[in-house]
Amino acid sequence: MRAVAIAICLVLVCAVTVFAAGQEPVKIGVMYALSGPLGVLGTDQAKVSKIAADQINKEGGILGRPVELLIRDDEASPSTAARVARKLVLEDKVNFIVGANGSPAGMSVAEVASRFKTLYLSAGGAMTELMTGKNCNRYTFRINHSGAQFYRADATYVASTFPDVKTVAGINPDYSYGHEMWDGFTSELKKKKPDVQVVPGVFVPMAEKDYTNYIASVVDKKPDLVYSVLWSGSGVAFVKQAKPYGMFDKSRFFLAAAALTTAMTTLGNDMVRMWGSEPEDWQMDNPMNKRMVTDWMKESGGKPPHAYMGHSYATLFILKQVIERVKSFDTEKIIAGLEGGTFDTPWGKMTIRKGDHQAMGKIFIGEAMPNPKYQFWTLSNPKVIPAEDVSLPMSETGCVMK
Amino acid sequence: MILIQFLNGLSTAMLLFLLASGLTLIFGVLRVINFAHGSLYMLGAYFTYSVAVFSGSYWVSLLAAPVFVACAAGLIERFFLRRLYVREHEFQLLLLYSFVLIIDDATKAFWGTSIRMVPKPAALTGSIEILGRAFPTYTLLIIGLGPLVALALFLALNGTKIGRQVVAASLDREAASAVGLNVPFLYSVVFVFGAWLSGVGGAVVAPLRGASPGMGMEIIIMSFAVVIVGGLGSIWGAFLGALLLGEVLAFGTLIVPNLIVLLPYAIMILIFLVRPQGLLGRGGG
Repeated sequence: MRAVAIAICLVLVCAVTVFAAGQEPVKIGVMYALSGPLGVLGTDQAKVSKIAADQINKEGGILGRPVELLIRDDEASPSTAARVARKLVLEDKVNFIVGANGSPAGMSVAEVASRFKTLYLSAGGAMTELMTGKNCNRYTFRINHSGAQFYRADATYVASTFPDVKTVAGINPDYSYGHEMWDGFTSELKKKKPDVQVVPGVFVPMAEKDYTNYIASVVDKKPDLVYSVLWSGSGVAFVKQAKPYGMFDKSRFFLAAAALTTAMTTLGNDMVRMWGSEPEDWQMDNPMNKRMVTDWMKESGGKPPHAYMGHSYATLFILKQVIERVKSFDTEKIIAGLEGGTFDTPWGKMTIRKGDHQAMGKIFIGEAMPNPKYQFWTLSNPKVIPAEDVSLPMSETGCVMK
Repeated sequence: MILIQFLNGLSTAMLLFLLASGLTLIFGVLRVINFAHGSLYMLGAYFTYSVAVFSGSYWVSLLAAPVFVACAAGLIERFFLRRLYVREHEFQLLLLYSFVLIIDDATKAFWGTSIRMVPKPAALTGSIEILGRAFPTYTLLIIGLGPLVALALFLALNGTKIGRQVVAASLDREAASAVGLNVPFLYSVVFVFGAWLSGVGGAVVAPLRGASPGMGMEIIIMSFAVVIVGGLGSIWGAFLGALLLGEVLAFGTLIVPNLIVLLPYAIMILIFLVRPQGLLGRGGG
C-alpha cells in the first residue's frame, strides 16, 4: 500500500515537472525610466506593459507559454541602459527586450541587441537617426514613431491649417532630439510656405526646470506660432511659467510629438489654448484600444493613458501576434515575420517597414479643448495622418541593414 | 524686455538667497556644510503640495510646509548631527549626504516620481503690465520676499538676544560656551532656522516649477556657488552673490545661451582665484 502511495506521488511529481516545462514562461525584459525626470513617463509605460502581460496570460499566453516581464529602470541614461540590457540578455536570459525611454538609452539597447542577436522592440526613443536611420540594425525594430514622421506631419498640418502664420519661433530641449525636431520642422515648413519667417530657436538644458529666463526673448519676437517638443514634465512646467508672461495670448502654441496629453491631463486650471501632435488617441473607437484604456483607467483612477503608453502596450501584443503567426520563438523567424508584417494595434492595423524596421503608425494632430465628460482637456476631433504619408522615403533614411 | 529680464533675474536671485542664506548661516555658526539643504528645499515643495491639496489653500501651505521642514531638520540635528560635531568634518558630510539619499528615496516612495503641480493662489495667478509687457504677479511676490527675509535676518541677528548669542557663538564657540551660553541649543536653533528658510524656498517655488524628484540637487549646486561667491558665512555676501548670479543667469540666457550652463561656475572659479574668501567673506578664513 505504502509503495503504491509513493509511486503515485512520484508520478504526480513527474507529471507536474513535465507540465511546468511545457509552460516555461517567455521572458521579456521591459526597460523604462522609472526614476529621474522621465520617470513620469516610464513608470506608467511599465504599468501598462504589466496590464498587457496580464491580458495576454489570461488568454493563454503566447503559443501556450505564459509571459513573464522583467521590469528594469534604464534611468533614460545610455550607460545604465547598456548595463541593464546586457544583464537582461546574459544573466536573466530574456527572449526579448522592449521599451527604453529617450533615444540615447534606446540606442544603447539597440547596440546590445545587435551584438547578442536578441530581438529589441523600441517603444520610446524617437530620434530619427538612431535605431531606424543610419544606425539601424537587424535585431532592432521601432514600434513608436521616428522624429521625422512627427515633424513632417506637424509642418504639413501647420502649413495647411494656419495660412496666416508668418513668424515661427521655437523653444526646445537642448539635446540632439530637440535640435533635430526644430531643424526638421522649420525646414519642412519653409518648403511648404517659403515666405515664413523663422526666429532662431531657443534651447533649454534638459535638466532645467526654470524657464523664466528663456520666455521673454520668445515673447518679444511676437511669433504667430511657437513650436515645442518639451515633453512630459518639462512641457507642463514651461506652459505654467510662460502663461503669465502673455505668451499664449498672442501666439499659437504647438506642443508636438507626444507631449500634449501629459500637458492636458496635468495642467488643470493652467491649461491654455494649444495644438499638438500625438502618437495615439486614447478616445479612439477600437476594441483593443478600449480594452487597454478601461483596464488602465481602473488602475490610474480615471487618468487617461498618455504619450507612448499605447505603444508600450501594443509592443507586447505585436510580439504575441508575430510569434503565433510564425509559430516559433526563433529570433530569425520572428524577424522575418515582423519585416513588412501588419499587426493589430490600439490605433488599427499597422505595418512595419521592411527596409528600416520602422513602424508606420498614425499621427493625431489637432487642438486641445475642454471636454465636458472629463475634468481635463482632450484632443478635439484630430486630423489623422498615416505615417506612410510623412515618413522619410527609404532612400533618405541612410539605413543599411546589418 | 531688458526690464522684464532684469526682474526675472531678481526673482531667481531671491529664491537662491532663501537657500543660500540658510546655508551660509549654518556654516557660519556650526561650521557644517549642509549638503542636505537642497533635499530640505525639495521636501518643502512636496509638503506644500500635500498641505495645499489637503487644505485647499496655498497660503496655509506656505505657512505650514516650512514649519514641517524645520521639524524634520530638528530631528536630524537632535538625533544624528549633534553626535558628530566633535568628529571630523568628513563624518558630518557623509551623514548629511546619506540624508540626501534617504530624503530623495523617501519622497519618491511617498509622492511618486511624477511632477506635482501646486496651483498658484487665486489672487496671484494673473499678470500685471510693465511697460507694455505682461509680468506674472506671483513672481513679484518672490522678488519682494527676498529683501524682506534679508532685513528680518539682519534684525534678528543684531536686535535680539538670541541673535546676538548666535553671532557670538559663530565668532568663537569656546569663548561663548565659557561665558555661559548654551551653545548646543544655539546650534539647534540655527540649523532648524536655516532649514525653515529652505522650506520657504521650496514652498515659494512649488507653484512655479512644481515639486519633482531631483529638484534639490539642481538648486543645491547653484546655492553653493552663491555662498562661495558671496563669502562663506556672510548673510549680506549671500544676498550679493544671489543678486549677481541671478542676473548673470538672466542676461546670460539672452546674450550667450550656449554658455549658460557654464557661466555661473566660471564666475565661481574666478572668485576663487582673485578673492578666495568671497565678495564679503572675512579674510584669512
